[in-house]
Amino acid sequence: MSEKPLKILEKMTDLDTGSPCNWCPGCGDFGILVALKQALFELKIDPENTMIVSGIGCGSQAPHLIKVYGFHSLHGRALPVATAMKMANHKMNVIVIGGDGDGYGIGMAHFIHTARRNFDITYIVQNNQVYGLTKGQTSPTSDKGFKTKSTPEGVLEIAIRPLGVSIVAGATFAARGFAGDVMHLKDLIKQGIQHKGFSHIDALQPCVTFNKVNTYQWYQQRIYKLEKEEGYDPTNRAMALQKAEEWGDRIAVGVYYKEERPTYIDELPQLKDKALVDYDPADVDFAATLQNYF
Amino acid sequence: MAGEAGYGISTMGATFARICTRAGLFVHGYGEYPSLIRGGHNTAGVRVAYEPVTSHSDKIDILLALNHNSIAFQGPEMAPGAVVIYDGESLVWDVKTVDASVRLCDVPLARLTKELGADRVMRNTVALGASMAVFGFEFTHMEEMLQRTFGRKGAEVVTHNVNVAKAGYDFVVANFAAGFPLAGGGTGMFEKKMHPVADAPKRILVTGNDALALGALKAGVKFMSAYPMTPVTSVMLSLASWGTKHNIVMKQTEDELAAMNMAIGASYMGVRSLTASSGGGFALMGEAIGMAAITETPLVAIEGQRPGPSTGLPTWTDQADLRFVMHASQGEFPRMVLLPGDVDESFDMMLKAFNWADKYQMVVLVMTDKYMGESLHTTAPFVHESYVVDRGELMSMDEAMKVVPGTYKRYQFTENGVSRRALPGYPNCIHAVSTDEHKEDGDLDEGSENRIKMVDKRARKLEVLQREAMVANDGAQLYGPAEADLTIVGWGSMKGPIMEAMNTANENGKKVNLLQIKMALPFPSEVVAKVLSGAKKTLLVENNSMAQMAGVVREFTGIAIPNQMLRYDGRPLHSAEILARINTELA
Amino acid sequence: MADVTITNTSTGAKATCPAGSNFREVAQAQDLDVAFGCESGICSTCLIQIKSGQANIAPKTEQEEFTLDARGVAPDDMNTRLGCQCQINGDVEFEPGM
Repeated sequence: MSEKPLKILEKMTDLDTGSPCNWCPGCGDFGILVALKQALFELKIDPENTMIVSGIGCGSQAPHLIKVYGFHSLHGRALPVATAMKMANHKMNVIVIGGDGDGYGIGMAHFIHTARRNFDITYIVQNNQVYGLTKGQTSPTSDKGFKTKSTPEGVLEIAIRPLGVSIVAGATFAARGFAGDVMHLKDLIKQGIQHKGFSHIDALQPCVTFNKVNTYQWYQQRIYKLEKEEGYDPTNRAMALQKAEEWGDRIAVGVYYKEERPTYIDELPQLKDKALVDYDPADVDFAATLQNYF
Repeated sequence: MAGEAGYGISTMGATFARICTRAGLFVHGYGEYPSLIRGGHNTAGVRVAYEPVTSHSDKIDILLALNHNSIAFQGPEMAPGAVVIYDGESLVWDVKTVDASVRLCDVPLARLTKELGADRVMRNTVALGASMAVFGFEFTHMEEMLQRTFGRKGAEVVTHNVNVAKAGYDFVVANFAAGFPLAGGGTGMFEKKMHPVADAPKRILVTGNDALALGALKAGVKFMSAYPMTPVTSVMLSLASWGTKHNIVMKQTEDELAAMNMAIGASYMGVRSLTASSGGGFALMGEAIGMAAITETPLVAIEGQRPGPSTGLPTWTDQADLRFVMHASQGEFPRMVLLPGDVDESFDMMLKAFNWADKYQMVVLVMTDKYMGESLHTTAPFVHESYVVDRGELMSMDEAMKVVPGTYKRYQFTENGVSRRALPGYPNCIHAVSTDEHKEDGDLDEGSENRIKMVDKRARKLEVLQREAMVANDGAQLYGPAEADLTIVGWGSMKGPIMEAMNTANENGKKVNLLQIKMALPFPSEVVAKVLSGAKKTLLVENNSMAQMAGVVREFTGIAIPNQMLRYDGRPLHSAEILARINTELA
Repeated sequence: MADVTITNTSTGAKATCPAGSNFREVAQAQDLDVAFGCESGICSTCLIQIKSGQANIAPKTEQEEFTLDARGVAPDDMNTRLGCQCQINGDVEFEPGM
C-alpha cells in the first residue's frame, strides 16, 4: 500500500468547508474556530492526516466547519472515541473539541481517565459556563449562584476548576485561553498540538445569548496573561495547581502547566513498528494459538 | 468437585476435564459459584463420556467433597454406586445422609500434603490424583498433563506437582483396590471406571467465551475495549494475553460507555474492533450503538447474559436479555443479533459477524450467557483455514489516490444501501460524519426528503444482507426427523441440553425434532413459519420467565407457541429434565 | 482620491490604500495583524478599537450593529467596530481586540 503524499495548505481559506454555521452572531465559538484554523494553518498540518472529534453542543459543530477529517460524536463521548482513534491510527493528528457541559459534566470521567493516560491529543473545551444548545441551563463551570431556568434560585454547587482537574488527573499540558483574544488562543493551540502528550486547553468564551454574566466585558476586566507574571513557572506543579484554584476577580490565561511524560502510544509495544490499522487482519498465526487449547 | 471459593475448585475441574479430553474422551464442564471471592459454595462439575455430551447432569458419580456444604448440597445428587472422596481426618459427617450404596473414599488429603511439605492449597492436587485412581485412569495421563501445565515453570515444579498427585493416586490404589466401604455397610467397587480412548482424534477443550475470543482473533480483530463483567470477562482477558503476539490492543476502560465508544472510534479508523459486556454494562452501551448505526461504522459486540434485573444473580445464567438486545438504543435502525448455540457456532458466527459488519457497515450483536460462555466443551479443532476476511466496500489507499478531491461522499446512496468507505488519513476523501442525521457527504441535514432516503438506505442494507449474504441454516436449523410428534423451539445455550434430550427420546422410539433459532435479527421468518406451521405439537424451551422467543416468533410469523418449558432460577435447564418433559408431552 | 493610511497602534503595522477601501481587504493584503473569521459581520473575530480617524470610517452596517450589540458593545460607542465592515475614507489608527 503506497504512502499518502503530504498535503500542505496554501492559504487558510483552504480549511473552509462552506458548510452553513448556525452560531449566534458574536458567539465565542467563532473566535475558537478561527484560532484553531490559524493554528493548523501556521503549523502546516496535513489536513488529510488530521482528525477532529467533537461531542454534542453548539460548538461541537466545529468538525463540519474545518476541512479535515471529522467525527461529530455523542454528548460527553468525544474523548473515548478520539483516544481509540489514536490507538487505531496514531500517525494521525487527533484534536478534540467540545463544550464545558460535554467535557466537564457528562464526559468528566472520560476527561479524567484520558488525562492520566496521556494520549498525544489536544482537547479544546469551549467553556461558556452554560448549556447553550438546550437554551441556557447551568453548567459544571457556572459560578455558584448563577441563575438559569434550571436553577431559578441560583446554582448551589461551587464551579469545577477544569485545569485543577486535568493537572491532578495527569494532563501534561494545561492551558487557558480566551475566545476574545484570537491571536493568544491560537498560540496556545499551536503549543498544545506540538506538545507530545495530553494537551488540555480551557477556552473561555462568552455565550452571547444565554450567559449574560460572563460576557466579553466581564472577561476583559479580569483576564491577565500568565506569561507576564513574574516568577511563574509552568513546570512547577504545585504553583500550577495553586494557579488553577484562582478564579473570580483575576483570571489567568496562558500555559498553566507543562510536563514531559511518555505518551500512551509510546508504551504500547504493539505499535512500535506500525499503526494498528496497518496490520493486515487476514495475517493471523491462528493455528499457533489454537495449540494452547488441546 | 465442591467446596469453598478460593480453593482452586474451578482450576481443578478444568485440569480434570483437560486430562479426559487429552485421553480421547468427550467432556462437558459446568461450574456454579456465588458472587464473592472467599467462602460460599463452589462446584465444578465435569461430565465425561465416550461420545459428545452437550449438557450438564444433575447426577454425580464421583464427588470430591472438600467441606460440609459439599456433602449437604451435593450428597443428595449422588447416583447409586457413586464414590465420595473426602478427608475423614478433617471432614466428619453422617454417612446416613447419603444413599446407602455410596462408596466412601476417605483420603487424608491434608496429611499427605503436609508430609510432602507441600503448600496447603496443593491438597487439591492430592485430591485430583485420588480421583484419577477412582476413575480408573493410569497415572501417566496425569503426569503428562502436569508436565504440560507446569513445564514452563521448570522441571522441579513439575516433579513436585507429580509427587503430590502421585501421593493421592497411590493412597487410593493401596487402600481401595479391593473396593470401598459402603455408606450402608459392606464394600463395593466403583462400576463406572473409564478408560482412555486409544488413537482418538486430537480435540480441543474450550469455553464458549474462548470460542468467541478465538473467532475474533481469526477474524483479524486488532482492538478491543472492555470493562470487566461476569460472565464475559474471560473474552477480554484472552485478547489481552494475545496482545504482543498478535498485535492486538486490548484496552480496559473506565466504564462501558468508554468501552463501546472506543470500539466504534477504532472501527471508524479501519481497525476490526470488539467489545463485550453483560446486561448491566450493555445498558450503558445503548446510546453508542445508535452512533455506530447512524455513522454506519462496522461494530461487533458480545452480550453475555446473566439474570437481572439489575445486579440480579451475577454469577448465574439465563436467557432474559433477548428483547433488550434486539431493541437496545433509541430509534429505528438495522442490526444483526446472532444467537450461537454452542462453541462451534460461537467461533463460526464471530468469523461471519466481522465480515457482515464490514460488508454491510452494520451493527452485529452476538449473544451468549454464563452457561455457554463459562462451561467447558470438547470439540474438534475449529476449522479456520477456509476463512476469507471480507472488508466489503472498504477503499484502499491506492483507490483513494484516484478520487477527485471534493467529490467523495461517505454516505452515497446506492442500490444495496452500502456506500464506498474511505478511511480517515486517505488522500482526497476528507469528510466529517455526525451522529446527527446527515446527507450523502456527511454534513448535517434535517430535511425531510433526505431523512427518508437515509432511513431507507440504512434499512435496505439488512434486507440485502439477508437476501445475499446468508446461506441456509444461518438463520435457523432443524435437527432430528423432518416429521415429528413434538417440535421443540430453542436458541442459544439451550441447544445442547435439548439436543441430548431429543436424541435420547428418539433412541427410545419417540419422534422429536429441534428448531434452533440462530438469529433474532434478521429473523428467519420463512424457515420458522414453514417448520412451525407443519408441526404437530410445539414446545418452547427457554431459560427465562416471559418466554421471550415465543413473542419474537409470533411477532415475525404470527404463530403462537403456547406450550412452554421455562426455567428462571439462574440455573440452566439440563437434558434430564427436558427429557422428562418430552416424555409427558408424548405420553 | 488621495491614498489614506491605516495604522495598527499595538503592532505598528501600517498600510496605505485608496480612500473608500474595505478595511479587511487592505488588512489582509498588507497584513495589519488582524484576524478575520466569517468576513461577513457575524463572528466578531475582527473586533477593533479606533484610536483616531473615527470620523473617516463609514457608518456601521446593519449587520455590524446587530453583532456589536450581541457582543455587548453600547450602541453609542463609535470607537468599537468590526474591521470587515469598515469602509475607510481617511487616515485611521486602530488596535485589535476589545
